[in-house]
Amino acid sequence: MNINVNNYEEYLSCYVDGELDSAETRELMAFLEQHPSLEGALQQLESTKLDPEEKIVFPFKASLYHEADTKQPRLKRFYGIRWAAAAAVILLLAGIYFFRMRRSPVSENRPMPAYVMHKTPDAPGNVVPAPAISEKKSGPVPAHSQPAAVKPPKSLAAAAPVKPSPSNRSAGTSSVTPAPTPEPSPATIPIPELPEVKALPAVSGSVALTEASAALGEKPGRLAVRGPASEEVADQVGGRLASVTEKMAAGKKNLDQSITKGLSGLQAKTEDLMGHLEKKEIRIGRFTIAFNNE
Amino acid sequence: MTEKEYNGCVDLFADGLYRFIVKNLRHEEDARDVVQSSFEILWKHHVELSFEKAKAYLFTVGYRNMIDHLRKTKRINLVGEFPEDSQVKEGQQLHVKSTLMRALEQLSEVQRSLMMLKDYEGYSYEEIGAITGLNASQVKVYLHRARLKMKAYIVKKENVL
Repeated sequence: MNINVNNYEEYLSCYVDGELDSAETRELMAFLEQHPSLEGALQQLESTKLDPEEKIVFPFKASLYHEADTKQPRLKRFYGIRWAAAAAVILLLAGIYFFRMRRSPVSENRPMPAYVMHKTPDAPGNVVPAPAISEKKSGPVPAHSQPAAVKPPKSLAAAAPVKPSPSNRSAGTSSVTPAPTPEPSPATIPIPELPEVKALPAVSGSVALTEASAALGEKPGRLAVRGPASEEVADQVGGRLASVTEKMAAGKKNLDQSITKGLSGLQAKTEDLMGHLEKKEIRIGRFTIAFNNE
Repeated sequence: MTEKEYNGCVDLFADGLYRFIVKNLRHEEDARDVVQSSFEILWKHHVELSFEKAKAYLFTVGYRNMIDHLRKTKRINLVGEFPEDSQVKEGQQLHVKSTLMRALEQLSEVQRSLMMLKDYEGYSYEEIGAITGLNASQVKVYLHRARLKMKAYIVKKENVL
Protein backbone atom coordinates (compact mmCIF):
# COMPACT_ATOMS: atom_id res chain seq x y z
CA MET A 1 0.00 0.00 0.00
CA ASN A 2 1.33 3.31 -1.00
CA ILE A 3 -0.61 6.42 -0.16
CA ASN A 4 0.51 9.51 -2.00
CA VAL A 5 -0.87 12.90 -3.03
CA ASN A 6 -2.30 11.37 -6.22
CA ASN A 7 -4.31 8.57 -4.71
CA TYR A 8 -5.02 9.79 -1.17
CA GLU A 9 -8.60 10.85 -2.09
CA GLU A 10 -9.46 7.31 -3.00
CA TYR A 11 -8.19 6.17 0.38
CA LEU A 12 -10.09 8.94 2.08
CA SER A 13 -13.25 7.72 0.37
CA CYS A 14 -12.58 4.16 1.43
CA TYR A 15 -11.94 5.39 4.96
CA VAL A 16 -15.25 7.27 4.97
CA ASP A 17 -16.91 4.15 3.63
CA GLY A 18 -15.36 2.17 6.48
CA GLU A 19 -13.65 -0.14 4.04
CA LEU A 20 -10.09 0.24 5.30
CA ASP A 21 -8.66 -2.32 7.66
CA SER A 22 -6.74 -1.21 10.74
CA ALA A 23 -3.34 -1.24 9.02
CA GLU A 24 -4.60 0.87 6.13
CA THR A 25 -6.27 3.24 8.54
CA ARG A 26 -3.04 3.72 10.46
CA GLU A 27 -1.17 4.40 7.24
CA LEU A 28 -3.73 6.96 6.10
CA MET A 29 -3.61 8.74 9.45
CA ALA A 30 0.19 8.89 9.23
CA PHE A 31 -0.07 10.34 5.72
CA LEU A 32 -2.52 13.01 6.88
CA GLU A 33 -0.22 13.93 9.72
CA GLN A 34 2.48 14.54 7.16
CA HIS A 35 0.09 16.60 5.04
CA PRO A 36 -2.04 18.60 7.46
CA SER A 37 -3.45 20.69 4.61
CA LEU A 38 -5.35 17.61 3.42
CA GLU A 39 -7.26 17.20 6.69
CA GLY A 40 -9.88 19.54 5.35
CA ALA A 41 -10.44 17.18 2.42
CA LEU A 42 -11.21 14.35 4.82
CA GLN A 43 -13.69 16.48 6.72
CA GLN A 44 -15.37 17.49 3.50
CA LEU A 45 -15.68 13.89 2.40
CA GLU A 46 -17.05 12.91 5.77
CA SER A 47 -19.67 15.61 5.43
CA THR A 48 -21.11 13.63 2.52
CA LYS A 49 -22.01 10.75 4.81
CA LEU A 50 -25.74 10.20 5.13
CA ASP A 51 -27.15 9.82 8.61
CA PRO A 52 -28.27 6.20 9.09
CA GLU A 53 -30.49 7.32 11.96
CA GLU A 54 -32.66 9.33 9.59
CA LYS A 55 -36.09 7.73 9.83
CA ILE A 56 -38.65 7.43 7.11
CA VAL A 57 -41.51 5.23 8.20
CA PHE A 58 -43.26 3.07 5.66
CA PRO A 59 -46.92 3.84 6.36
CA PHE A 60 -48.44 0.67 4.93
CA LYS A 61 -46.76 -2.06 6.96
CA ALA A 62 -50.11 -3.65 7.72
CA SER A 63 -50.48 -4.52 4.06
CA LEU A 64 -47.19 -6.42 4.12
CA TYR A 65 -47.81 -8.78 7.03
CA HIS A 66 -48.79 -12.16 5.84
CA GLU A 67 -50.07 -13.50 9.13
CA ALA A 68 -52.41 -10.54 9.18
CA ASP A 69 -53.33 -11.19 5.56
CA THR A 70 -54.62 -14.63 6.35
CA LYS A 71 -56.39 -13.55 9.51
CA GLN A 72 -58.04 -10.44 8.22
CA PRO A 73 -60.37 -12.02 5.70
CA ARG A 74 -61.50 -14.50 8.31
CA LEU A 75 -62.29 -11.67 10.69
CA LYS A 76 -63.99 -9.75 7.93
CA ARG A 77 -66.11 -12.75 7.01
CA PHE A 78 -67.04 -13.26 10.63
CA TYR A 79 -68.06 -9.67 11.10
CA GLY A 80 -69.87 -9.79 7.78
CA ILE A 81 -72.07 -12.60 8.98
CA ARG A 82 -72.75 -10.82 12.22
CA TRP A 83 -73.66 -7.61 10.44
CA ALA A 84 -75.81 -9.49 7.97
CA ALA A 85 -77.63 -11.22 10.81
CA ALA A 86 -78.19 -7.93 12.61
CA ALA A 87 -79.42 -6.31 9.41
CA ALA A 88 -81.74 -9.24 8.73
CA VAL A 89 -83.26 -9.01 12.21
CA ILE A 90 -83.74 -5.27 11.89
CA LEU A 91 -85.30 -5.66 8.44
CA LEU A 92 -87.59 -8.39 9.71
CA LEU A 93 -88.74 -6.28 12.66
CA ALA A 94 -89.21 -3.25 10.44
CA GLY A 95 -91.16 -5.37 7.97
CA ILE A 96 -93.46 -6.72 10.66
CA TYR A 97 -93.95 -3.23 12.05
CA PHE A 98 -94.85 -1.72 8.70
CA PHE A 99 -97.05 -4.65 7.79
CA ARG A 100 -98.99 -4.19 11.00
CA MET A 101 -99.12 -0.43 10.52
CA ARG A 102 -100.58 -0.81 7.07
CA ARG A 103 -103.37 -3.12 8.15
CA SER A 104 -106.46 -1.43 9.45
CA PRO A 105 -107.44 -2.22 13.05
CA VAL A 106 -110.54 -4.14 11.92
CA SER A 107 -108.78 -6.30 9.39
CA GLU A 108 -106.27 -7.16 12.08
CA ASN A 109 -109.04 -8.93 13.96
CA ARG A 110 -109.90 -11.04 10.99
CA PRO A 111 -109.73 -14.62 12.22
CA MET A 112 -107.43 -16.70 10.11
CA PRO A 113 -109.04 -20.09 10.97
CA ALA A 114 -112.25 -18.88 9.37
CA TYR A 115 -110.65 -19.31 6.00
CA VAL A 116 -109.99 -22.98 6.74
CA MET A 117 -113.47 -23.51 8.00
CA HIS A 118 -114.84 -22.13 4.81
CA LYS A 119 -112.99 -24.75 2.84
CA THR A 120 -113.90 -27.84 4.83
CA PRO A 121 -116.12 -30.14 2.77
CA ASP A 122 -118.75 -30.60 5.45
CA ALA A 123 -119.17 -26.88 6.05
CA PRO A 124 -122.77 -25.85 6.44
CA GLY A 125 -124.31 -24.93 3.21
CA ASN A 126 -126.37 -22.11 4.62
CA VAL A 127 -123.46 -19.71 4.89
CA VAL A 128 -124.37 -16.52 3.22
CA PRO A 129 -121.50 -14.95 1.33
CA ALA A 130 -120.22 -11.66 2.55
CA PRO A 131 -121.61 -8.61 0.83
CA ALA A 132 -119.54 -7.31 -1.98
CA ILE A 133 -117.29 -4.49 -0.95
CA SER A 134 -118.03 -2.54 -4.06
CA GLU A 135 -121.68 -2.32 -3.05
CA LYS A 136 -121.81 1.35 -2.25
CA LYS A 137 -124.56 3.50 -0.82
CA SER A 138 -126.87 0.51 -0.60
CA GLY A 139 -129.04 -0.25 2.35
CA PRO A 140 -127.97 -2.59 5.15
CA VAL A 141 -127.21 -6.07 3.96
CA PRO A 142 -127.92 -8.95 6.33
CA ALA A 143 -124.68 -10.77 6.78
CA HIS A 144 -125.82 -13.89 8.56
CA SER A 145 -128.45 -16.49 8.32
CA GLN A 146 -129.53 -15.93 11.93
CA PRO A 147 -132.08 -13.20 11.56
CA ALA A 148 -132.62 -12.92 15.31
CA ALA A 149 -129.11 -11.64 15.84
CA VAL A 150 -129.30 -9.03 13.14
CA LYS A 151 -129.39 -5.58 14.57
CA PRO A 152 -130.92 -2.72 12.73
CA PRO A 153 -128.18 -0.79 11.04
CA LYS A 154 -129.66 2.50 12.10
CA SER A 155 -129.05 1.84 15.76
CA LEU A 156 -125.44 0.90 15.11
CA ALA A 157 -124.82 3.95 13.07
CA ALA A 158 -126.55 6.17 15.56
CA ALA A 159 -124.67 4.64 18.49
CA ALA A 160 -121.37 4.89 16.74
CA PRO A 161 -119.29 7.60 18.34
CA VAL A 162 -118.53 9.73 15.35
CA LYS A 163 -116.38 12.65 16.31
CA PRO A 164 -116.49 15.88 14.33
CA SER A 165 -112.99 15.22 13.12
CA PRO A 166 -111.72 17.17 10.11
CA SER A 167 -110.59 13.89 8.63
CA ASN A 168 -113.53 12.07 7.16
CA ARG A 169 -111.48 8.94 6.88
CA SER A 170 -111.03 8.64 10.60
CA ALA A 171 -114.70 9.39 11.14
CA GLY A 172 -115.60 6.61 8.79
CA THR A 173 -113.50 4.01 10.53
CA SER A 174 -114.34 5.05 14.04
CA SER A 175 -118.00 4.53 13.34
CA VAL A 176 -117.43 0.80 13.00
CA THR A 177 -114.40 -0.11 15.07
CA PRO A 178 -116.14 -0.24 18.43
CA ALA A 179 -118.09 -3.30 17.32
CA PRO A 180 -116.88 -6.34 19.26
CA THR A 181 -115.12 -8.87 17.06
CA PRO A 182 -113.99 -11.74 19.28
CA GLU A 183 -111.47 -13.97 17.60
CA PRO A 184 -112.74 -17.51 17.50
CA SER A 185 -110.04 -20.09 17.83
CA PRO A 186 -111.56 -23.55 17.83
CA ALA A 187 -108.37 -25.15 19.02
CA THR A 188 -108.04 -23.16 22.22
CA ILE A 189 -111.48 -22.09 23.28
CA PRO A 190 -113.26 -24.76 25.35
CA ILE A 191 -116.54 -25.90 23.92
CA PRO A 192 -118.99 -24.68 26.54
CA GLU A 193 -117.37 -21.26 26.66
CA LEU A 194 -117.76 -20.56 22.97
CA PRO A 195 -119.17 -17.07 22.80
CA GLU A 196 -122.58 -16.53 21.39
CA VAL A 197 -121.97 -15.38 17.89
CA LYS A 198 -124.02 -12.40 17.00
CA ALA A 199 -124.14 -11.45 13.45
CA LEU A 200 -123.51 -7.81 12.88
CA PRO A 201 -124.98 -6.16 9.89
CA ALA A 202 -122.82 -5.01 7.10
CA VAL A 203 -123.11 -1.28 7.29
CA SER A 204 -122.67 0.78 4.28
CA GLY A 205 -120.15 3.47 5.07
CA SER A 206 -122.04 6.17 3.30
CA VAL A 207 -125.17 5.39 5.27
CA ALA A 208 -123.23 5.49 8.53
CA LEU A 209 -121.70 8.77 7.58
CA THR A 210 -124.98 10.22 6.58
CA GLU A 211 -126.48 9.17 9.89
CA ALA A 212 -123.51 10.51 11.80
CA SER A 213 -123.54 13.82 10.03
CA ALA A 214 -127.28 14.08 10.57
CA ALA A 215 -126.75 13.50 14.27
CA LEU A 216 -124.16 16.23 14.30
CA GLY A 217 -126.49 18.57 12.53
CA GLU A 218 -124.39 18.81 9.43
CA LYS A 219 -125.71 18.66 5.96
CA PRO A 220 -125.36 15.10 4.77
CA GLY A 221 -124.46 16.19 1.28
CA ARG A 222 -121.32 18.00 2.38
CA LEU A 223 -119.87 15.05 4.13
CA ALA A 224 -120.65 12.75 1.28
CA VAL A 225 -119.05 15.10 -1.22
CA ARG A 226 -116.05 15.69 0.95
CA GLY A 227 -115.23 12.10 1.66
CA PRO A 228 -115.74 9.61 -1.11
CA ALA A 229 -112.62 7.84 0.07
CA SER A 230 -113.94 7.51 3.59
CA GLU A 231 -117.16 6.07 2.25
CA GLU A 232 -115.22 3.38 0.51
CA VAL A 233 -113.31 2.64 3.68
CA ALA A 234 -116.49 2.46 5.66
CA ASP A 235 -118.01 0.14 3.09
CA GLN A 236 -114.99 -2.09 3.25
CA VAL A 237 -115.03 -2.13 7.00
CA GLY A 238 -118.71 -2.96 7.08
CA GLY A 239 -118.19 -5.75 4.57
CA ARG A 240 -115.30 -7.20 6.48
CA LEU A 241 -117.18 -7.09 9.74
CA ALA A 242 -120.03 -9.03 8.18
CA SER A 243 -117.71 -11.64 6.75
CA VAL A 244 -115.97 -11.98 10.11
CA THR A 245 -119.18 -12.63 11.99
CA GLU A 246 -120.35 -15.01 9.33
CA LYS A 247 -117.14 -16.96 9.45
CA MET A 248 -117.25 -17.09 13.22
CA ALA A 249 -120.73 -18.61 13.08
CA ALA A 250 -119.65 -21.12 10.48
CA GLY A 251 -116.67 -22.02 12.62
CA LYS A 252 -118.79 -22.64 15.66
CA LYS A 253 -121.17 -24.82 13.72
CA ASN A 254 -118.28 -26.79 12.30
CA LEU A 255 -116.81 -27.30 15.71
CA ASP A 256 -120.09 -28.44 17.19
CA GLN A 257 -120.55 -30.95 14.42
CA SER A 258 -117.10 -32.42 14.75
CA ILE A 259 -117.47 -32.69 18.51
CA THR A 260 -120.76 -34.52 18.16
CA LYS A 261 -119.26 -36.78 15.54
CA GLY A 262 -116.25 -37.49 17.72
CA LEU A 263 -118.38 -38.21 20.76
CA SER A 264 -120.65 -40.64 18.92
CA GLY A 265 -117.61 -42.37 17.44
CA LEU A 266 -116.08 -42.72 20.87
CA GLN A 267 -119.31 -44.09 22.28
CA ALA A 268 -119.52 -46.69 19.50
CA LYS A 269 -115.92 -47.72 20.12
CA THR A 270 -116.52 -48.06 23.87
CA GLU A 271 -119.60 -50.15 23.28
CA ASP A 272 -117.66 -52.37 20.90
CA LEU A 273 -114.89 -52.82 23.46
CA MET A 274 -117.36 -53.59 26.19
CA GLY A 275 -118.96 -56.25 23.98
CA HIS A 276 -115.56 -57.85 23.41
CA LEU A 277 -114.77 -57.75 27.09
CA GLU A 278 -117.96 -59.56 27.84
CA LYS A 279 -116.88 -62.22 25.39
CA LYS A 280 -113.51 -62.29 27.20
CA GLU A 281 -111.54 -61.42 24.15
CA ILE A 282 -109.61 -58.42 22.89
CA ARG A 283 -109.52 -57.55 19.29
CA ILE A 284 -106.49 -55.74 17.95
CA GLY A 285 -106.80 -55.17 14.26
CA ARG A 286 -107.18 -58.56 12.64
CA PHE A 287 -106.09 -60.47 15.75
CA THR A 288 -108.36 -61.55 18.46
CA ILE A 289 -107.01 -62.54 21.87
CA ALA A 290 -109.32 -64.67 23.94
CA PHE A 291 -109.04 -64.89 27.75
CA ASN A 292 -109.93 -67.83 29.81
CA ASN A 293 -110.10 -66.97 33.50
CA GLU A 294 -111.28 -70.37 34.62
CA MET B 1 -37.81 -18.58 7.02
CA THR B 2 -41.00 -18.95 8.97
CA GLU B 3 -44.07 -16.83 8.66
CA LYS B 4 -43.13 -15.17 11.92
CA GLU B 5 -39.65 -14.37 10.65
CA TYR B 6 -41.12 -12.94 7.47
CA ASN B 7 -43.27 -10.62 9.56
CA GLY B 8 -40.16 -9.77 11.52
CA CYS B 9 -38.61 -8.72 8.22
CA VAL B 10 -41.54 -6.37 7.69
CA ASP B 11 -40.91 -4.83 11.10
CA LEU B 12 -37.16 -4.58 10.62
CA PHE B 13 -36.66 -3.73 6.98
CA ALA B 14 -39.80 -2.13 5.55
CA ASP B 15 -38.86 1.36 6.72
CA GLY B 16 -35.28 1.03 5.47
CA LEU B 17 -36.34 -0.31 2.09
CA TYR B 18 -38.92 2.43 1.76
CA ARG B 19 -36.32 5.07 2.64
CA PHE B 20 -33.99 3.57 0.05
CA ILE B 21 -36.64 3.54 -2.66
CA VAL B 22 -38.46 6.77 -1.94
CA LYS B 23 -35.27 8.80 -1.83
CA ASN B 24 -34.39 7.48 -5.23
CA LEU B 25 -37.78 7.72 -6.89
CA ARG B 26 -38.84 10.85 -5.02
CA HIS B 27 -42.41 9.66 -5.51
CA GLU B 28 -44.20 8.21 -2.50
CA GLU B 29 -46.84 6.15 -4.29
CA ASP B 30 -44.35 4.61 -6.70
CA ALA B 31 -42.04 3.85 -3.79
CA ARG B 32 -44.89 2.23 -1.90
CA ASP B 33 -45.67 0.03 -4.89
CA VAL B 34 -42.05 -1.01 -5.22
CA VAL B 35 -41.82 -1.86 -1.51
CA GLN B 36 -45.05 -3.84 -1.60
CA SER B 37 -44.07 -5.83 -4.67
CA SER B 38 -40.64 -6.49 -3.14
CA PHE B 39 -42.20 -7.90 0.00
CA GLU B 40 -44.58 -9.96 -2.10
CA ILE B 41 -41.61 -11.54 -3.82
CA LEU B 42 -39.92 -12.10 -0.49
CA TRP B 43 -43.08 -13.81 0.74
CA LYS B 44 -43.18 -16.03 -2.32
CA HIS B 45 -39.66 -17.25 -1.55
CA HIS B 46 -39.70 -17.04 2.22
CA VAL B 47 -39.65 -20.82 2.65
CA GLU B 48 -36.37 -21.34 0.83
CA LEU B 49 -34.75 -18.14 2.13
CA SER B 50 -33.01 -17.86 5.48
CA PHE B 51 -33.81 -14.97 7.76
CA GLU B 52 -30.17 -13.82 7.62
CA LYS B 53 -30.29 -13.43 3.86
CA ALA B 54 -33.70 -11.83 3.80
CA LYS B 55 -32.57 -8.23 4.06
CA ALA B 56 -30.04 -8.42 1.22
CA TYR B 57 -32.61 -10.30 -0.86
CA LEU B 58 -35.20 -7.66 -0.14
CA PHE B 59 -32.88 -4.83 -1.12
CA THR B 60 -31.79 -6.69 -4.24
CA VAL B 61 -35.37 -7.21 -5.33
CA GLY B 62 -36.26 -3.68 -4.32
CA TYR B 63 -33.34 -2.22 -6.26
CA ARG B 64 -34.27 -4.18 -9.38
CA ASN B 65 -37.90 -3.20 -9.08
CA MET B 66 -36.87 0.39 -8.70
CA ILE B 67 -34.57 0.33 -11.72
CA ASP B 68 -37.31 -1.34 -13.76
CA HIS B 69 -39.72 1.32 -12.62
CA LEU B 70 -37.29 4.06 -13.55
CA ARG B 71 -36.70 2.51 -16.95
CA LYS B 72 -40.41 2.38 -17.56
CA THR B 73 -40.82 5.99 -16.63
CA LYS B 74 -37.60 6.88 -18.48
CA ARG B 75 -36.22 8.86 -15.65
CA ILE B 76 -33.05 6.91 -15.15
CA ASN B 77 -29.58 8.17 -15.87
CA LEU B 78 -27.58 5.00 -15.58
CA VAL B 79 -24.39 6.60 -16.81
CA GLY B 80 -24.25 8.54 -13.62
CA GLU B 81 -23.11 11.83 -15.07
CA PHE B 82 -23.90 15.08 -13.39
CA PRO B 83 -27.02 16.42 -15.08
CA GLU B 84 -26.34 19.72 -16.77
CA ASP B 85 -29.60 21.35 -15.80
CA SER B 86 -29.66 20.16 -12.23
CA GLN B 87 -28.44 23.46 -10.93
CA VAL B 88 -31.28 25.28 -12.66
CA LYS B 89 -33.69 23.58 -10.26
CA GLU B 90 -32.33 25.48 -7.31
CA GLY B 91 -35.04 27.68 -5.92
CA GLN B 92 -36.54 28.87 -2.70
CA GLN B 93 -38.12 25.48 -1.95
CA LEU B 94 -34.69 23.87 -1.71
CA HIS B 95 -33.99 25.69 1.53
CA VAL B 96 -36.42 23.28 3.17
CA LYS B 97 -34.11 20.36 2.58
CA SER B 98 -30.65 20.09 3.99
CA THR B 99 -27.67 20.73 1.76
CA LEU B 100 -26.74 17.10 2.10
CA MET B 101 -30.08 15.94 0.73
CA ARG B 102 -29.79 18.36 -2.13
CA ALA B 103 -26.31 17.09 -2.80
CA LEU B 104 -27.67 13.54 -2.85
CA GLU B 105 -30.25 14.58 -5.39
CA GLN B 106 -27.48 15.70 -7.72
CA LEU B 107 -26.33 12.12 -8.12
CA SER B 108 -27.54 9.57 -10.61
CA GLU B 109 -29.94 6.87 -9.40
CA VAL B 110 -27.17 4.29 -9.30
CA GLN B 111 -24.78 6.55 -7.40
CA ARG B 112 -27.51 7.56 -5.02
CA SER B 113 -28.41 3.91 -4.49
CA LEU B 114 -24.83 3.04 -3.70
CA MET B 115 -24.56 5.94 -1.30
CA MET B 116 -27.66 4.90 0.55
CA LEU B 117 -26.76 1.23 0.66
CA LYS B 118 -23.41 2.21 2.08
CA ASP B 119 -24.36 4.91 4.56
CA TYR B 120 -27.89 4.00 5.53
CA GLU B 121 -27.64 0.23 5.48
CA GLY B 122 -23.89 -0.15 6.14
CA TYR B 123 -23.32 -2.71 3.41
CA SER B 124 -19.83 -3.52 2.24
CA TYR B 125 -18.67 -2.98 -1.35
CA GLU B 126 -19.13 -6.71 -1.91
CA GLU B 127 -22.65 -6.74 -0.58
CA ILE B 128 -23.59 -3.61 -2.49
CA GLY B 129 -22.15 -5.24 -5.60
CA ALA B 130 -24.35 -8.28 -5.04
CA ILE B 131 -27.41 -6.12 -4.65
CA THR B 132 -26.79 -3.85 -7.61
CA GLY B 133 -25.17 -6.37 -9.94
CA LEU B 134 -21.83 -4.57 -9.97
CA ASN B 135 -18.47 -5.86 -8.79
CA ALA B 136 -16.84 -4.59 -5.64
CA SER B 137 -14.25 -2.40 -7.37
CA GLN B 138 -16.94 -0.79 -9.52
CA VAL B 139 -18.88 -0.03 -6.38
CA LYS B 140 -15.78 1.46 -4.82
CA VAL B 141 -15.08 3.69 -7.80
CA TYR B 142 -18.69 4.76 -8.25
CA LEU B 143 -18.96 5.58 -4.59
CA HIS B 144 -15.75 7.53 -4.67
CA ARG B 145 -17.01 9.60 -7.60
CA ALA B 146 -20.31 10.09 -5.89
CA ARG B 147 -18.67 11.39 -2.74
CA LEU B 148 -16.49 13.75 -4.70
CA LYS B 149 -19.55 15.09 -6.48
CA MET B 150 -21.40 15.57 -3.27
CA LYS B 151 -18.39 17.16 -1.66
CA ALA B 152 -18.06 19.57 -4.58
CA TYR B 153 -21.71 20.51 -4.29
CA ILE B 154 -21.52 21.05 -0.56
CA VAL B 155 -18.33 23.09 -0.76
CA LYS B 156 -19.81 25.21 -3.53
CA LYS B 157 -22.95 25.80 -1.48
CA GLU B 158 -20.91 26.77 1.55
CA ASN B 159 -18.92 29.20 -0.56
CA VAL B 160 -22.11 30.73 -1.94
CA LEU B 161 -23.58 31.12 1.53
